[in-house]
Amino acid sequence: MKRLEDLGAASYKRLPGKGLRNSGLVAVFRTRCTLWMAGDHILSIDNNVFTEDYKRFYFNDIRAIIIQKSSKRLVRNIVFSIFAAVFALIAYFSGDIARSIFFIISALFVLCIFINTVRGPTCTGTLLTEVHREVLPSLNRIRIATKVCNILETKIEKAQGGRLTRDMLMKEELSRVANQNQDESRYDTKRHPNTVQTSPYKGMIHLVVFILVVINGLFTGFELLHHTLTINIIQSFIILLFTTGVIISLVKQSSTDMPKALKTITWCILGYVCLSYVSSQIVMISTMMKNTSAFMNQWNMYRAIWDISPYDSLFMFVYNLISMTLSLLLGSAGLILTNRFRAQGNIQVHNRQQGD
Amino acid sequence: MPGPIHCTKCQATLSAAWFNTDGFTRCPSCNTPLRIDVYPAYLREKVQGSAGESIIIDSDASCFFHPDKKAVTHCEGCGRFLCALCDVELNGHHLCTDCLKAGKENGKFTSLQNHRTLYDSMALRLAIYPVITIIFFYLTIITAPMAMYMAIRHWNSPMSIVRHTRTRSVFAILISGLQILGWATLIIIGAG
Repeated sequence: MKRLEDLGAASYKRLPGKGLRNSGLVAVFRTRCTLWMAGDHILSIDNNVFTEDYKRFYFNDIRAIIIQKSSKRLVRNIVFSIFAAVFALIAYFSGDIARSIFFIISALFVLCIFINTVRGPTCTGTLLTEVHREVLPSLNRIRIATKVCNILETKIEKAQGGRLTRDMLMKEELSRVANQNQDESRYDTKRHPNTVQTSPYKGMIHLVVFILVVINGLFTGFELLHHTLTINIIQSFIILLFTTGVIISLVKQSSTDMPKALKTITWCILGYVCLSYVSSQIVMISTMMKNTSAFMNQWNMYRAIWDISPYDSLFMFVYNLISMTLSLLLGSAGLILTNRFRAQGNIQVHNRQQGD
Repeated sequence: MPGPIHCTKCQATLSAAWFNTDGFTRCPSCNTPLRIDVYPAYLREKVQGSAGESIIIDSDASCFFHPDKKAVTHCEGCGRFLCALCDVELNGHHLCTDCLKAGKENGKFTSLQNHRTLYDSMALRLAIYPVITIIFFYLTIITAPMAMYMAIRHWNSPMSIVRHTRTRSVFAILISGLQILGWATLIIIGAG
């Protein structure tokens, strides 16, 4: 019989893959994660150089393994490309000795791009049990994750007594939906007047924001043709309004099933607002340096800023031109997508009413 | 009914149509490609823990920790009778909480350990790092005896669960030994 002291003394076999667990932007020692397989469980080891932390997942408890494709490979390649290009440029403008050094550094980044590309697409692996969810950093490439899943599949199915077919899953899903419908009819809002029914978000705030952005673009275009103080003041208020609207829209869209493109456009408008803010700060500082006396009084300060014409400097002209183009493009694209989203919502409501 | 499985990116609840597809399918909410491998444990009902059965007849064996509860097994570590509540099963063996705690504390139950300090790695790095960095080579006068002490002092300490050789400790002793020998030679030559 096995001695009590030897309980659980398993022999482990290393599974492919290793990865780093994110432990902050700056870490003295990075946590290196690996997976090991024993007879009845997998062991996840977080190695912190001088210590090791262990987590055991018994085959019998594993409910699911989820592999999510990620864009880390693309992001890394972009970062490496930027570094390679920067060092290549420095090498191009440097002297003989420095040129070769910077060229080698640039070549190293190119090598990184090559290795990153060869290693294949990236992903994030997650293991689910009844009570918790664990991210497995070692499953960071699709090729490795697929290999590990295939190794574990047979072990898990052996431990859990069979394979879970799609038919079984669909049957379970059907019974779940039936139960849900039963529950819904049981807790009908008509019979329970205390239940508050929240109306779904239909994109009204988005619509207002995009209209304001288009108006802002039109005003900027008009300003390029004819600069007046009144238009400038109105435009300032419009910007203030749609900045507030964008923040509300971003909060609203986070919990809706809006199309990704529409969400992205809203984020782009926030980026445009930030860009406008930075540009206006630059203009303000340069105006302040030219005309110090105007900034002694709050009203004079606003007056000095509003008085700036797009034709005062090349920067202002280019800024106005870009601002007009961005406003019109983002605003009109947003309007089209919002209208489409609202129309889809109306069709669904109409279908539901017909179904009733 | 099984608990729902959510998208790992947007947390949207996924239906069974997305499971075991032998490839990647896109999340209906965020469009992220996902591969979801689900196993029979997904359909398993949550098992409620047993509270232990009360004694009905006086002659029944009772639990050591709960005299009013009926004993269902005995601890394989200390032999005490245990009720269903006190019985802890570990790899097919029945133990009481005291034996389990003692086993975990003195490191006898490997499968209960979730943290280990790697003294062998520590000693090896202490011996190697000052040499690799070159500019900190002079630090070996301190780090070499430290590495030697650590490797010998923790020779019998538990190592990593997955490694079973003392190669790192041996190398730490060898490298730090050479460093100590080098310093000793330098001191003797300097003194001479």
